[in-house]
Amino acid sequence: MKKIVFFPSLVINFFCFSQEYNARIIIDTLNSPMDSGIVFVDDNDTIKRGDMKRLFQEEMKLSRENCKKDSLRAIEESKYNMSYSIPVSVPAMDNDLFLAEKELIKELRKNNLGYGGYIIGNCFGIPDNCFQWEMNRQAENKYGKAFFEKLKKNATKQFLINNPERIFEFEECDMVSRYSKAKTYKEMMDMMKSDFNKIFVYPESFEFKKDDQYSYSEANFILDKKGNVSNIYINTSLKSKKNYIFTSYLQESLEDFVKKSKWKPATYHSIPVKSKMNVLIFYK
Amino acid sequence: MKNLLFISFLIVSITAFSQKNTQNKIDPKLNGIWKGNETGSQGDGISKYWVMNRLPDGTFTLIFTAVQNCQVSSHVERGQWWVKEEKYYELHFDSGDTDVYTYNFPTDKKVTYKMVQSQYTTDYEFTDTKIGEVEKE
Repeated sequence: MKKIVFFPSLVINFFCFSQEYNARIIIDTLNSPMDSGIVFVDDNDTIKRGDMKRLFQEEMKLSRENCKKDSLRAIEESKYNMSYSIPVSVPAMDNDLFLAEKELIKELRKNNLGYGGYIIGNCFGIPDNCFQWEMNRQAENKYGKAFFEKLKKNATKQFLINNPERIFEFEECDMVSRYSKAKTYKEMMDMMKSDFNKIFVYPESFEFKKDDQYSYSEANFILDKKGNVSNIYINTSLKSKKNYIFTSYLQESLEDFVKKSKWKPATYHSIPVKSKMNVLIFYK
Repeated sequence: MKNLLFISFLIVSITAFSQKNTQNKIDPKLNGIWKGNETGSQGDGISKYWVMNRLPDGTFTLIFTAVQNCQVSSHVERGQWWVKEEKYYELHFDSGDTDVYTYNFPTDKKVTYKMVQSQYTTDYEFTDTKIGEVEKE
């Protein structure tokens, strides 16, 4: 909970920090705010880079001091109550959150461990969440990293038992290949397109692209836990209006490709799940 | 000479048949101007009214009006239509989405559609009434 409070407080701090100077932020798209000549301005005032750097350094100093205190507090606290928090990469999207959070809390409780929530950092390089990071370090030193991975896996299994028909978003799943021929995620992306292009024959009077605007078809479908395909839905956008007389053929070609290809089920924390999948093809 | 002619004929035939028909098929009975309306199928209390102008070149223009709580909104959609295996396909240029319906003609002037595939909903049925023949824009 503290982390949940901490992150918004950081955002509020920054908001207040800028409010204090009655400023609106001008984002230099080429340089970071720290490197650009002018960072904050309002109608009457300008804060120069030097001032900004000084303020930033003060903020860093304060954060480091707080971080040190929080870390020491975590070491002390861990002797009596140990907890574990889930680190999330920044910027954190909904898909990055751990779906089996509730189940993980139960797993932790079974082992007399508390739950510290998510560790969501910041993009400014300011030390924060130090209590949670230190607590995780203490917990992993005591139980081992593999122990927490196992708990997460058990929690995931339980989540999937509780939600057997859940259809996972493409981005929620592990970054592993779902196209049988491809070994890696990147290979999957490249190979699906190149395999389609090998068999696809353009209609005789198809108008090829003349500028940088792309025409495409995208097949969205569901992959079940065995890698079977269903619910194929194709979206098509063509820059040359004349090519729309071929949409039936274009969509049928992509649908056939999806149906005839061999697929592997997507996985979530290495467990096969039902998922959304898509194949995006750009036309010449 | 006979053999040569036969072989040439064979090559031409094979070439002609191997070239897959790549153009959309249309059902001429669906050409023309149609009107339709429905209430409540895609949202509580929303009434929809539309006029569809379907051209033999496979394009369509749909003039659409929705009424909800005395608020009226209208928009125009353009796209491509075709038929395949007794299904009607309607691709909307703006979104790239293709709605798929089964269709039948209770009378010459009426056509009933039942949605079988869409990006957002599948439980959707309506009947259009023909109000005019093909009208070029």
